[in-house]
Amino acid sequence: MTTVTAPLMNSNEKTRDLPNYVEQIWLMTRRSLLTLLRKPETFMPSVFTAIFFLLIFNAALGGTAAFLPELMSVDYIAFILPLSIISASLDSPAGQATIRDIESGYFDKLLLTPISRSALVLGHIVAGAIVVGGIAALVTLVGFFLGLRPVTGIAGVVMLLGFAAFIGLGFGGLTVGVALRTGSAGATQGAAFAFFPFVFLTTAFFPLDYLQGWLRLAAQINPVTYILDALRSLLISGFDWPALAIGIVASAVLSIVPFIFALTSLRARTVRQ
Amino acid sequence: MIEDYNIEVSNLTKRYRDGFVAVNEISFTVKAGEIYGFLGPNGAGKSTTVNMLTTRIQPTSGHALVAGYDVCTKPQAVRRVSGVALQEIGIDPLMTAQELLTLQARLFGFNRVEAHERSKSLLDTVRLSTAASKPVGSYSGGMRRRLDLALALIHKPRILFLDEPTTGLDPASRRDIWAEVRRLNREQGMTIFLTTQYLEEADMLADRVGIINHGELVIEGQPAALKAAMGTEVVNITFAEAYQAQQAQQVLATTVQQSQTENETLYLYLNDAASNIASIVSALNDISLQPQSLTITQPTLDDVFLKVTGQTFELLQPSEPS
Repeated sequence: MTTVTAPLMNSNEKTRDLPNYVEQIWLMTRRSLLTLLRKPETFMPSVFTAIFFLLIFNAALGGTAAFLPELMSVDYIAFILPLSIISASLDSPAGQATIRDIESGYFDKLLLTPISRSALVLGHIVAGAIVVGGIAALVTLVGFFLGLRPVTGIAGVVMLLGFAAFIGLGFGGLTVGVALRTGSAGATQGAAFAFFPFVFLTTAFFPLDYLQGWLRLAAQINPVTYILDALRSLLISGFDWPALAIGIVASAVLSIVPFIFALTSLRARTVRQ
Repeated sequence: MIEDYNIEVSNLTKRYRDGFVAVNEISFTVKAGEIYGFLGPNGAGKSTTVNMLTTRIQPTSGHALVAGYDVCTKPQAVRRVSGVALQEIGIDPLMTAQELLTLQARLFGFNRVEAHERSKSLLDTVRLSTAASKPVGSYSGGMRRRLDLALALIHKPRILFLDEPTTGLDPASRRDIWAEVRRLNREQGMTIFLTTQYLEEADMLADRVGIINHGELVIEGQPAALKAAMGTEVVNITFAEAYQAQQAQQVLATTVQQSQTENETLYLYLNDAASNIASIVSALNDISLQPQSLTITQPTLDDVFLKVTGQTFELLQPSEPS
């Protein structure tokens, strides 16, 4: 005699389609944004630092522009604002958000769902980039109060914010990678500071022609220089497409490499021991 | 005869990098619609087993099928059919119960409306509707445990894994969880794999129990059958010294079917204790052994545990909540 037990409950796991990859990223991004907004201390210091830099550099160095032929006809605020935006993007809150999930155990809970592992990580990275874009918008607004008048108008500002979010993706990937690799809030915070000098080994304060020796060389090989050039072209000289294209390539390099690092860190963390 | 097994485990082993063997070649099956109690003291290997069955960690060797899916080669399929509430509750304290449940539902493929309805229904079930909009960080331990159960149930899983679901809870919260486990099993036919360190919990809830100790599955069966195999009654005799208990065991070996000692206590398993008491006391008097106490009880899973491991469960455990 053959006995087969009765069918089970109304389990519907075979008929229900899981969300596609983009939907998964969106669900995780929305959730990450929600919790970031409830924990503003994770990104507010970046807002204050970026605005502080803008004010202090403009006040301290703005006067020197009158002595530099290349900046004579340029409002120094337009020259220095991109630096302020890039420094804010270094401190993407994505890494700290990842650390919070690891510490609360929610990261492990999400690993028990059928969601893609990379979508789980990308949610925080994209949310961090959106926050960085928002900070850039605030800084630009302050710039307007200080006399900023971009030659490319609203379209240029939108592009500027797009660049900020793009760079935010890269540095978000870096901090998330460190978070996944170490599980340490301190190490994740430190990772952002470790890259801080790169912002200054550029044409941060003066055009390339005024830099000499090792600083000139460092600025020439630093991708951040080309991002600064692209952003400045939007604010000062107009749509300089070659400069913008180089800036996009430099941003892509700064985004893709850390993202690969984040993915390998994720794999290292979730490899089922 | 073909049985519909929801969990099939064969020679499952977990050896960590430092050489520690947490689970050693265990094999068992859990039938569809069954509540299986996986009982063992702290560090016995219960959580490691659950972690392997829920795809959190990979077995070193052996096989495990959950709803027919191999945990090593089909982890995504296993996750879709399983609901998991782990011992450490991992919930984002900044989110509300409603948000957590809705997100969980969306991740399992519910659309926005369905996810909202399913969350609302489960919040009612676990009696968290009034706190649904509060951040989970403000919840008590019992409320968090109930929310964790709701999260595990969101996608109507075929199999529910509960890793020590009542550890650390007050008696009222424990009873709530027990009632919900029974309801899920009876009304929805859900297969439940439940680990516990509480004998009473396994005895009351499980259709069958497996007892694990030092990573090995030492005995398996229906609680009633396991206890019945010990005899219908237990005479517990406590002496001043452990050697006296052993001496008494030797003297009474011909009188009783089964006996065992644990420190100063001798346990005699009999089918008719009352009629044997007089001869037992007389035999002890003959060798001048004076018991400090003598009680008659029903056999428990603790007696079964003592028989198969040589230790009482209670001695290995922190005190059990009442």
